[in-house]
Amino acid sequence: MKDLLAGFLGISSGITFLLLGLGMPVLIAKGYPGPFFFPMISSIVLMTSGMLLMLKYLTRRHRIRKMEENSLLENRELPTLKSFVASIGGFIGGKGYLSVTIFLASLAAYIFSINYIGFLLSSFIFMYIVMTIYGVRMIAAVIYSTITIIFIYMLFIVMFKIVIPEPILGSILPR
Amino acid sequence: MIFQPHIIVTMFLAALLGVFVGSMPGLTATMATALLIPFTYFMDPLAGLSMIIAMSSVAIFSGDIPAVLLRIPGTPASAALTIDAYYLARRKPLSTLGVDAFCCMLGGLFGTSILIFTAPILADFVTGFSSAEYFWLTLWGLSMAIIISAEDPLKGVLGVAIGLLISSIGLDPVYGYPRYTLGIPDLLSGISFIPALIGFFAIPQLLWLISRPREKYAIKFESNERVFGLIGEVLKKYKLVILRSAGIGTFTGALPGAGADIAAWTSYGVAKRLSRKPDEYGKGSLEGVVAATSANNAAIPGAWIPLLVFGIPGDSITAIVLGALLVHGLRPGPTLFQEQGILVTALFMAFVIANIMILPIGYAAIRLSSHILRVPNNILAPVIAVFCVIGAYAVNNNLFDIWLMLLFGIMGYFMERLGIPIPPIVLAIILGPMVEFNFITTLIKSDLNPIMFFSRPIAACLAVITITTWVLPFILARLRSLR
Repeated sequence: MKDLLAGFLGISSGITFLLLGLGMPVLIAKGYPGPFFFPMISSIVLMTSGMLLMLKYLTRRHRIRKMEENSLLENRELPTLKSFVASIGGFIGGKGYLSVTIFLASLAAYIFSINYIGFLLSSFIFMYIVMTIYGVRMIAAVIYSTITIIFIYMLFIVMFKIVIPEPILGSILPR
Repeated sequence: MIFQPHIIVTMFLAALLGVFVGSMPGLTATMATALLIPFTYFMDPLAGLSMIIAMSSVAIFSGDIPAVLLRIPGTPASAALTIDAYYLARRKPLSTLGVDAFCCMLGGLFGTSILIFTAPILADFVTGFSSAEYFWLTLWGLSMAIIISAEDPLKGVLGVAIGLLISSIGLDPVYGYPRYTLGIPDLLSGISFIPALIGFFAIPQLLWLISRPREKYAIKFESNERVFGLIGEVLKKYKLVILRSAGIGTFTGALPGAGADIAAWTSYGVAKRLSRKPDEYGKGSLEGVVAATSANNAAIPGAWIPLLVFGIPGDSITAIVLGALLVHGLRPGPTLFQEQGILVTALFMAFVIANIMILPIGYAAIRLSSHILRVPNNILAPVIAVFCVIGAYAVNNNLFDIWLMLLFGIMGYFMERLGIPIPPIVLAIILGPMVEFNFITTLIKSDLNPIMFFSRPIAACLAVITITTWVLPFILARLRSLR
């Protein structure tokens, strides 16, 4: 199954890059390779490796099916919607696929909020929410988040003088 | 130059970070390097690079701590010794770790001595390289990464092709033509290197951690055991094993795409084959532990040989270090040795100091390991995520880079689940522009005559080596199937 999906990824990505690059010249004056020459070769290699992976999966699956037909195995379960969803979930994150999905969504929301409420506040809220979702007690989550924010402020802003995104209404913290 | 107080203190603090990162299963030295790189922008080059050297050297040793005590490798480099070390640790956990620390130090010092003696010689040799030689060298680097890193070479090729296409986003290196920018001004300068690295290496690890949120580790051992009690026996019985393994580790580390983990496995396999007691391997062989640990730390300086001489990273850590070198205006190659000779010498000394540090810091880490391993993943993951965000942002002060980091992180996570290895992708992102630039430059110089790629003797040799690297796996597979 992994080979099938990897093959599909290769073929679809290769086609995408080929289509996106169609307006670029492959060769320029005197026949020298142009800007699209290397991406075109890379896309073809990508599609070819994708096709070979899919072929490998299909030939292996055919051999396994032949073996199953010749075997005495019974009690094969029919695929259900539940088992299909579980396999997708298993593919996404194994046992903790829900944790992974929630974490990614939280991370995306955190990055989105940085521009509006500033880096320090959005980081504090992100850490606090994620820690409490995943079982850390509220007081402990506040303490760990606060310590981390103070450390980041002292190290990056005071010592390294990095300019970090500030809230829309401006920052109250000194530099 | 290296003995300035601020550099020694920085190296010491980085070594402590290396202890933490290495000891925690789920955190890797590569991930920690990716997170440390943005810090180096605000330091002088020597302090920044010494910090990474110290952190990576100690982290590779510290990954052995949970391997020995819990049978869980802290870093991939510790996997080779896990089973034997765990068996030994049932009777003598602290002295097993003491042997580990000692052999790591010796292996690292051996690799450093090879680095010191060979790198300047190779740098002189490389002075005469033209675009044709660099083309074959970088192509060979990518080929090795496919063969070494990927269980399935097809997936390795797929990864390299993806990396090459990612590297082509932005302005063309030869003509300056905008490619795949999709009308987004932030993409005109191409994919920012450090956010991509943090995304590929750090985010998948974070997702692995958060899928086991409440996991933490508890260990107990006797406090009266002597940590370095077995050193005498090791030196008496296994000196040749240490020397051989350190050599294997250094050579393996110098191969692009091969890192400390492959060095450790290769050395373990060779030691088993040559051992008088091969049956003990897998059941508590001290010789096996010595072989693996000597090799994995020797690979760290080994990986810096191709990095400093050719600008081709030997492993994932040096792939990230290359970014740091370029940001500081230090271009690897012969000119680095000519123009920044003092800096290069100071870096060699940093390796010596970092490997000597393994012993005292390792001793403290061994004694305190029960406390280090208690931090649960549900606290660790969000804190590290915040550091990833600020690390990605600090490069260009651009929020777009953080979104890129997240995108590559998700891509990296799914690719790992599909069995597509990450190191070839990253190596292709780094080497892609070099391959393209040298290829097109050679064609332009030769007026489209392909013979130019083979006409110079060194280019011809490199071409033969590269083509052999492509063809050899198929030949070997065919020979195996005929038997």
